[in-house]
Amino acid sequence: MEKRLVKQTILVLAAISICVFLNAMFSGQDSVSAARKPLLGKREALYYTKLDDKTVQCGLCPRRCLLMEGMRGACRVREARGGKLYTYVYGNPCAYHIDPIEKKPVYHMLPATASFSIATAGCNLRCKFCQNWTISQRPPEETDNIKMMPHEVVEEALKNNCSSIAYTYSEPIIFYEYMLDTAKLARDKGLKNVMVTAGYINEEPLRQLCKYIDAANVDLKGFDKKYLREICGEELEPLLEALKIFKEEGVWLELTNLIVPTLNDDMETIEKMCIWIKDNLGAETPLHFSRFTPRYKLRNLYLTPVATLEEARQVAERAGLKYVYIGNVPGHPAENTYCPDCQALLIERLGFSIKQNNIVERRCKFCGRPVPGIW
Amino acid sequence: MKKSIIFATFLIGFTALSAQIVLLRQLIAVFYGNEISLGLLLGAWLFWGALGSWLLGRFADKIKNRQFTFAVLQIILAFILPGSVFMVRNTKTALGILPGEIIGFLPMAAFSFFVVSLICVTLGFLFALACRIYPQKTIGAIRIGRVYILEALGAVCGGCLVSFFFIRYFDALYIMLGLAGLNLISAYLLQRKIRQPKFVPVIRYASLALIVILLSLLFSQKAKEFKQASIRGQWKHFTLLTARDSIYGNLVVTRQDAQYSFFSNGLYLFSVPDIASSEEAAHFALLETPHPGRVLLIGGGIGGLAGEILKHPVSALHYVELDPEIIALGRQFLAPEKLGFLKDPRLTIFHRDGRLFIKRLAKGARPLSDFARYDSIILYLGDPYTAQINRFYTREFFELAQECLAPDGVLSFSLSSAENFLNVEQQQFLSSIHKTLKSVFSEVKVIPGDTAYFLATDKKGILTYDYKELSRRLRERGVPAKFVREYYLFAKLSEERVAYLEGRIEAEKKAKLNTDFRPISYYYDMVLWSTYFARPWRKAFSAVNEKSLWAFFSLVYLSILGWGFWRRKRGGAKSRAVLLAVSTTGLTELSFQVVILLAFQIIYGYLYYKLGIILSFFMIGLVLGSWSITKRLEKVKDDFGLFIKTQAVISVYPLILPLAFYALNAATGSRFISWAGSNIVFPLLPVVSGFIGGFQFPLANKIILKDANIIGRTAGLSYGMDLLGACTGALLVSAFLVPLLGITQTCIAVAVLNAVVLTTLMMNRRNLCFSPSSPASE
Repeated sequence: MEKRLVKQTILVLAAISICVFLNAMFSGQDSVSAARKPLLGKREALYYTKLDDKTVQCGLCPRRCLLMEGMRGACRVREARGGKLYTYVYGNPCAYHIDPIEKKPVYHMLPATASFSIATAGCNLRCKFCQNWTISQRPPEETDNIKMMPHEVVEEALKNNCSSIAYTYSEPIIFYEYMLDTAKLARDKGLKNVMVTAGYINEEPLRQLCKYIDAANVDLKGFDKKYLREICGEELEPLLEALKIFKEEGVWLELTNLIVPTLNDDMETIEKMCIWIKDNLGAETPLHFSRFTPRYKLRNLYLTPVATLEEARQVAERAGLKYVYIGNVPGHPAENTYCPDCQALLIERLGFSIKQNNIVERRCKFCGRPVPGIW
Repeated sequence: MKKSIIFATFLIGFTALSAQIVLLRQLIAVFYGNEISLGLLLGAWLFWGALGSWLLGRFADKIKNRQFTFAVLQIILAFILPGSVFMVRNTKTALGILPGEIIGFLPMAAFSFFVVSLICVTLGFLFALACRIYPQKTIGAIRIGRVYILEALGAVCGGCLVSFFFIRYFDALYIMLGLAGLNLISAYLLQRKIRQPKFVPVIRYASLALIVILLSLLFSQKAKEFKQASIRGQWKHFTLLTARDSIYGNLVVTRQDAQYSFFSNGLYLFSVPDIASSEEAAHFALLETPHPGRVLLIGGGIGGLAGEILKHPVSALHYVELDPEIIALGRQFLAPEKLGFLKDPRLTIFHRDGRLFIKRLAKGARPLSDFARYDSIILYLGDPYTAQINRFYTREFFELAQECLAPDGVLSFSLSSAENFLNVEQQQFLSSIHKTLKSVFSEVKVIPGDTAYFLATDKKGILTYDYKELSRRLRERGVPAKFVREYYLFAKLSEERVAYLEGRIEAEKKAKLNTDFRPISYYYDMVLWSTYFARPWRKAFSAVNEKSLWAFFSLVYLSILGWGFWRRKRGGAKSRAVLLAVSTTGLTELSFQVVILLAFQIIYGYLYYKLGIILSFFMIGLVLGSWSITKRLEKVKDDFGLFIKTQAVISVYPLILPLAFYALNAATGSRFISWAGSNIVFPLLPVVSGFIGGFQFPLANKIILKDANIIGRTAGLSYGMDLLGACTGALLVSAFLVPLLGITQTCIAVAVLNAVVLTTLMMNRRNLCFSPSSPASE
């Protein structure tokens, strides 16, 4: 009797699990994800190699995903179909807002102007602290997207008196084709193009893109290989290469380093990073130390103490960097731009608003020292 | 010898419930403590208990030296108990979890199943063994019944002692060491007078030696070092200042530089200083209030929020905080200049459940005078991730708050949101609460951001998104704010962002109202939580809804009926039907517990001691039930008939529960009825539920033993089935049934389930008991 009973119980449990599973699969009328029909902007992607009839290799980012028929890349937006690679987010952003340029943050470019900001779903990284995880860690099928072709983006930006278009929030590299086409049109219309990115991209597509990008804020999330690999899902070397290319191609470059308490707040590593920046990108490259606030998978970690950010700023200045900022702490004096020579207050910021601007004709009003940037 | 066996049996229950309370609290502090993870942890516990008693119970009859085995198992248990606490505290290191990272669903399930397995299997096996070694003067079913009673009594004592006393004064590790000591003593007593087999003295001396070692450990520095090491393992990478247990949970304070951070049950609460968060919560609420005179704050004050509120020209601030330990920790660790507000004469602190506080005001003997109403009520409790917190976001709560507010008073609270893009799950979650709020207040506004601030009032035209007006009020009141000033308000209240958030919230039409008796918002929060993890989880979670649950139940009902019909002429069918009834009773009993505890919190508020008493009354009911049947088990002639009658009662009782809740809820107006309800009527509900379950179990054993007269196996089997049913209940009831179906429908679903089982029993009524294959060993 016992053996049979065991068998029967297992059978019943199996049957129940199958019921639950089938239920979950087919009874989606009322449910969240099945209710909406996704809007997908399908278009053939740039930068890939066809290996055979059914296999392609994406060449956009250092991950170089090998994709069989129907497979998606790590970015969740590029798919192999019939020996070709397609992007599924061309012309259908899910987030579109008008933000002050200071919010990106880009501090050395047209202060107090508005930037038309767009993003699509997807990202090629997996940062556990992602601020925009609701977009970045989802495929486009699971976000509410609208149709906005490149010329419409430019029109919207102009209509809303924006001086620039920002490709931001998630990772713009993954909507490369859309960004590239929009940037070309925007430049024709006299708008600036700003990219807020983690910079995890291969050389060839980056050089092509840089022709149209005016400024970039690149997240140099850390300088420790283990941290980058385990917490963000990226490798350090390709990122550093990309940074050098941005510089070589003449894109105005600012860097952001998010300091996550206990995970990448080691001052020695920060010092190494700052020295590398100075040696390879120049002492005048602005660096923003950004404050971590608990979110996404790290929602049980406390926010970065202000003292840690201040210490990092001191380390960076000692290493020779001229423009070091503290972000995400509104009202902190390190939000302002100071002249490295005469220490005068050049741009006074309060949150995302500008209180005073003492840069005249790209120079410090007081001592005449040139201030780098796009003014 | 008999006494030592009785003690040993009592100790099974005592150890089981004490260890359960201690270990589950530890696990909650490591994992995210929402209803699904709580259900999973409890489910894991019951599952292994079931497996231990069922599968290992089969060996209970085959083993020769049962008493010896029993003692050895107790000694093993003495090692496992403290070991498991150590293991739980080092979970994060073992799983490679980052500091502050929330743990995925699968690792959580796997790890909790692994950790509790050893304890539960051992305890389950001990139960089956106890039934076998219990003095043999009586018939089998009575013996099982007595063991069941003793075990339940042990559980009542263990549960009460641990949750009311030990948890407050001793670290989890010490409690486990104490339990280990008791088990060693019991092992020694069991072996004291036995001569055979030859190696028994070894066990006797071993247990004695271990007791001595344990005692010396407890009174030396070693235990302390052991404890420190285990806690450090849990908070690796943090500079831990203190880890303390209050009856409500585990509290931790850490420090980095000059910043102190507070955690409750492993969840991040707040940091000091974090001026921006405190300012946002205080100033958004009070700037939207035209005349903030009297303010009520529920939760979060010690982190600086109370201080910010007092910067406004308020006449009185009533701050309600459930756990006094949080304030005590604040006083202990925070710099005096951060706590200046505690000396402000306008501040009064109340240590009680915020919901109870508001209910007493709103439903008090005298109607609230205009003078006593609040101009602003601020909730600072975080997202409703459990049924308990969800009580502050239901329509009924909003109605109570409305009664306590002045005509132009404002209610405000904050919830997690996203600044740039709301995903579908967030949209649904925020929308359900927004809708609920709108069903009560005539005007609702939401300030966008990664934390969204909800504001509600009854007077039109009070709330505004105009940053200039708010900055004007700020200046007028002379509030020295560091962050929330004109520039900040301007950025926060950007027209475009406000329109986006409102648009997204209002576009979601399907989100349901969050009510007391159908607390759906915590389910939406759970769906949102599942989106952090792999896609199958979020698909599964978001696909479950009212319809699919009922479809699932119909399938279960039909399968049971079909099975009963198909088996009705075969041998042993009666026993099987009875076993089925035992497992559905296990599920039903667990549903009773969940539903009664929740209903009590809704109607009378969160009162730790009373909730403990309700749980104890449940166990007492169980003991009374099994005692009253066990003592006359031999005399019962038509045992199957009586069993069917009890099953009929179990089918009806779930229908009485919601009626009782509604009646009691409606009758809270009068002070006397309210008192009688919470102190007399309410405790009776669990007694009755426990009684029915306790009454049915020995009866079931008698019927099954007629079929196959093997005590150890039968006891293990029926107990295992009982626990398996309870395990299913733990996974289903509080995470899915209650939020999606509501309390009433849950009770109906359970009632129908029992009625279906009743029908199956009736179909087998005329069946013979003896199956030809079963041997008769005794």
